[in-house]
Amino acid sequence: MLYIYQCTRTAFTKMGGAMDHLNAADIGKSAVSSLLTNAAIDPALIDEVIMGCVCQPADSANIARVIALRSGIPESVTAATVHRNCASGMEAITTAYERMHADHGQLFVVGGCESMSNTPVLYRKSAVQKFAKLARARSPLAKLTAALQFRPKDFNPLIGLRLGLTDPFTGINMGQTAEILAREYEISRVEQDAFAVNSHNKALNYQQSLNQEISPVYTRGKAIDSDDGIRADSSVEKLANLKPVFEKNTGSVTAGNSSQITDGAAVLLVGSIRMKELGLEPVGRLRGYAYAGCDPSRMGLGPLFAMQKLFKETGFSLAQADIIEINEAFAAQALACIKLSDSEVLAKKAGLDSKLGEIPLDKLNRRGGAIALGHPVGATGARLVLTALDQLRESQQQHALTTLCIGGGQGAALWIERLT
Amino acid sequence: MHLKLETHGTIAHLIFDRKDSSANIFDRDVLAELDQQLDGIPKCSKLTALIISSNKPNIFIAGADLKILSTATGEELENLISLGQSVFSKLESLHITTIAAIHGACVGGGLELALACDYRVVSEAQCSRIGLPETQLGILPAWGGSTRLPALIGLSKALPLILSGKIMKPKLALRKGIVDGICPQQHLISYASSFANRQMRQLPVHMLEHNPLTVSLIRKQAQDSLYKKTRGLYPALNRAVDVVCTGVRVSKQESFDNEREAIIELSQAPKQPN
Repeated sequence: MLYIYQCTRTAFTKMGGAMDHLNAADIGKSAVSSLLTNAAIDPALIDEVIMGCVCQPADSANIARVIALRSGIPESVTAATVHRNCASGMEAITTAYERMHADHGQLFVVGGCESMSNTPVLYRKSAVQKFAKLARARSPLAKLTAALQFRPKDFNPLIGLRLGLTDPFTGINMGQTAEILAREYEISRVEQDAFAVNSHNKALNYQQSLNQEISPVYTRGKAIDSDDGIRADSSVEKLANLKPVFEKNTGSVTAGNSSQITDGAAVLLVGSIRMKELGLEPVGRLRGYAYAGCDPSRMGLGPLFAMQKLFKETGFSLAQADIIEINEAFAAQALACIKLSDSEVLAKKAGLDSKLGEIPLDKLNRRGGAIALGHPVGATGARLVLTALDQLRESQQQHALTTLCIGGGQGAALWIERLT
Repeated sequence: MHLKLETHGTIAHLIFDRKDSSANIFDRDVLAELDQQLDGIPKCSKLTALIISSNKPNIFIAGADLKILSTATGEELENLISLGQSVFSKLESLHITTIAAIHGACVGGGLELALACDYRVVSEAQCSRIGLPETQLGILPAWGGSTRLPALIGLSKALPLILSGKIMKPKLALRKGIVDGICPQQHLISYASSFANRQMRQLPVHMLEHNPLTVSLIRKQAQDSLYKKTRGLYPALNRAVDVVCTGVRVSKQESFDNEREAIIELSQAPKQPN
């Protein structure tokens, strides 16, 4: 079984905000350094660093290795980057579990990092070909001819972030998948806005607890030590004024009831029970996990399919969970999961075997979710596990279920247990 | 009974649902029934808008009944075309805002009906298609399509669409300016209702395109490129250029007369479907 010994994260800051000038490797490095400082162990004892990152920067191929070396982990320790879209942070944790069970190591640094501020803006293929021609041209005349080939549309860039948030198989944007759920399961704009306001309010109430999850990032003479997406002035009336982003005419998904685009990293020190010998004290353990596939155009229902698989394989049930963390990619998506989970008819319509049970709102995302805190795609999976563990510690409860939807039509669910 | 008229508050909702058929098409009965329904609307003073939609799963209105078109004699055909023109003109001249809520195929006469409305909204569903394919059948749009399409989007955009008979997906129709908005099927009627408060549409003037000089240039260019493609073998295309280009310079009624004259002539010629 995989034991969790330490965990921490950076603050989650809005795109273009406080960590705009740091790339994903910088943010990840800061988180890993803090983790190692807190754990107070010899970095050479680590067997591997496994990091999730969705928009992997072009200048840090295998970003996990870059982070490992820059955090002072010795060259001999290996590092691998994993990618399962929004669940990349969870993928890092479960990869460590699998490595451990294949006898490839006992102690791992895992997690996820993302700098959505620094997702690239790309040249089109047509422009790239013309640049190549220009570079090959030798004589001044040839250079001029090549330069004259450029047309204004060659300089109309491709937005990396938009491409990344569009599912190439169905051609629809993540926000549109949420619109589909809102339509099919009749989730109104007001419900979505109320859910979003609630997320901000919860985060506001638990801001002190949230700050305990965070290790500061020191940059430009300042410490970035708190999440900056939480709004104290959010209200259903204010959110009602926002225009739908993805379906301009008749949609209900707005910037206000979707997760924020954010930079951040979350990391955990995990390993086998034998690591107690190093003086480490486990705070929790991974009791089971499942990934499940579903319709890419309704990817928001992924958590339900993953939960169904997890419950079937482990025998756990929704009622046993003391804490439930469902990532709030979109309010419509999270509400659809809540609604379908407790309705036999709707669950069957969506393709589940049967309903999963009620998701009690007082157990759900107690410290707010991605609508308030942000969703740095690679890091969120790890943050959910981290916050669940910290909530279990705070409330002295035992079991937590963490789950999220994955772009491209998957869901992930991890069952976490607190150790005393 | 192929039509159903419902009233919700100040909005009337006219639903096409042809009896015992999977498609909505126009024949004499349907046109007569539509005429009758439209007559009733001015009497209802509280109405502010009329939404037209279809109850068929994949079809808005597929156009005229081709069997009748191909078998009708000269006089019958003339009556049918005149009836269609007058009914669509009646729809156009209603004192309230009219909106076509299109889901499914809206082609030929279906689009000509929609063009007689002030606004057109279309569902983003796969089955939604919009176009005037008449010239591909050796005839031309004669229920006002050859007149109203150029009046809406301008001659330079309308003529190629009529000559090619292109059937468009909603997004392209939106780019061309033929429809005013796209939305998911579930929201179609509520979105159409959001147009109810708008004023009746004032058509653009298209001064740059519809002046005598530009029209004659466009006509010349179209004729030349047609000749290159067809060597003058497809009379429907040439007549369509003629009717459409003349149409933007003369009154609506004159243009309707041209349309009617042309379709009768073309239907009586030996058939040459392209």
